[in-house]
Amino acid sequence: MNKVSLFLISLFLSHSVMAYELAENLQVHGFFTQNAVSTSDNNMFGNSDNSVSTDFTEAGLNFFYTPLEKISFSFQALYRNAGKVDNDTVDIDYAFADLKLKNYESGRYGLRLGRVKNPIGLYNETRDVAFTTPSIILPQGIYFDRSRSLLLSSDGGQFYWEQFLDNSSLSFKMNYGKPRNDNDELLNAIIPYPTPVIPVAPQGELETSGSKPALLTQISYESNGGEFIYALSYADVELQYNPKANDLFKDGTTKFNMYVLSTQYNGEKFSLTGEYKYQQNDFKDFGIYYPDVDQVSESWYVQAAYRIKHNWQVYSRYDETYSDKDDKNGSRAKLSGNPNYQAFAKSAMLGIRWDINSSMMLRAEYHNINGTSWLTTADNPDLSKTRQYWDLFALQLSLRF
Amino acid sequence: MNRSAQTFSLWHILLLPLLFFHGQLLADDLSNSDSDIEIYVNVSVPEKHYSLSEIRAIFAMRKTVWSDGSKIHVFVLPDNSPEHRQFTKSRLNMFPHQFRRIWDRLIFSGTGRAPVEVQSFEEMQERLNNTPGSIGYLNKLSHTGHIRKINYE
Repeated sequence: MNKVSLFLISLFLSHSVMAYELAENLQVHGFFTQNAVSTSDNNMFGNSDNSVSTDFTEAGLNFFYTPLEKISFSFQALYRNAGKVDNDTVDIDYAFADLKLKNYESGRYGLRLGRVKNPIGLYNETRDVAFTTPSIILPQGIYFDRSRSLLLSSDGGQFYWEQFLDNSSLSFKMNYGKPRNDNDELLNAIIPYPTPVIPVAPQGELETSGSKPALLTQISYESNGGEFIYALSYADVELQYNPKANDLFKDGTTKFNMYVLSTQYNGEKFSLTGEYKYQQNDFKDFGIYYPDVDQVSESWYVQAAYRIKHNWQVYSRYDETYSDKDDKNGSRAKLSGNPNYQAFAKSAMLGIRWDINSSMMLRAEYHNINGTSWLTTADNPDLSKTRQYWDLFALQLSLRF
Repeated sequence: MNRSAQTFSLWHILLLPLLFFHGQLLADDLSNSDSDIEIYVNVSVPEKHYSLSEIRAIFAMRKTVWSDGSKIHVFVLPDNSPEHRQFTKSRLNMFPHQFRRIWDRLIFSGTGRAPVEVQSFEEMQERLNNTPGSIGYLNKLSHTGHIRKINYE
């Protein structure tokens, strides 16, 4: 299905009502988002360099079915086109049965079995749904688009528990399961070869089969209906490299231990958000062409938003991300032959959001960026041609129902 | 196209909606007058004392069953209606954008459903009257029928 027809269908549906109750216990929702991205240098979401790329479209359709109060079934299909990383792909974003083991006066707990969304930070579970995200381009340090497919959802299950306290609530989620496959971009981020110094590239793939299941967990506390939110997320993910027959790289493993600390204030007019990520990366046994790596990447951002009116918002963000916190200027990364500025990104952003009505939203933002760690190899195959200092403009139209 | 020309035309595209719709910005926000909106339920809802945090959890769609195990049906007016804003602020001490954030996370992660949106108080009263286990809010009750005011603190 092309994106024009997706747009027209969403436009038609978003104009009638906010949700479709197909039957007594079946709710249907969906969204469609079209972006335009332009950069002064480098490519982000398509050929944006000195041009305008519209190669960034996301659409989703979901079903929520509750035959009994003790059980519900959820399913979402996701269409995505994002530069050369995703080309008109249609995926099952989540599909699970929710067993509501216990609903009591002041809380509930249960089990979700199937493909479940991974709770990381404030936004990962709905990172592809524009209406729920804080900006067009997500804070890359925490919601790194290059590792998006790995951290999106798990095939396994989730235990959840929610407790309503006096004026606040406490929530706990724990996911256990296989991360999704399709990690070519991540492999390129881990082994950024070929370079002028090391002219070989890995031929194989990072695979979840043969790797141990991932563990992701989050505990969060919200007071006064989300006026103050605090969350701590942890992820322990391992991927096995499967070399091809003529591969110069051996069957190494990549291991990530991620900690994300999140905090948010939501007032009537003003919101303030801060998130910090600390991630241990342990890559080993890839052979002599890729010596073992044991480093910590670190990133953080602060974003402020002000509602001029209930449907108009201006927002601004500053963020920093470093692939190796002990090599912030990338001088060690440079030894492999890649530019040193590939090892970091520091950016400032200014944006505006207009909720035209409850089912239609328009956003525009400007980013000023120093460093290229956001860039995908798919859209920037020759890293030596990238520029350290660049600007990015983005425009977004999103519909929902 | 050279860079400065491109930047120039892009800014025009970005600013266009502002030029067209700045009139919207001038329209005033709702006044903070005392609200006469109250919370009502269908008479089938168990009669007991409800806490503010329970009522909030119900409107947030986090609490989905009544104490007798029956399903909760929540009715709300649209996000941008002045009455909805007045209700969330004066009765629940929350803002519509806080509810929207919670509902959207439920809807788009498959972990819950959205409340049912109605277009007017008349429709709300009719739905409350006809739906066992339902909860909503009204500015006045024109005829009681199967509806009663809820006690909470």
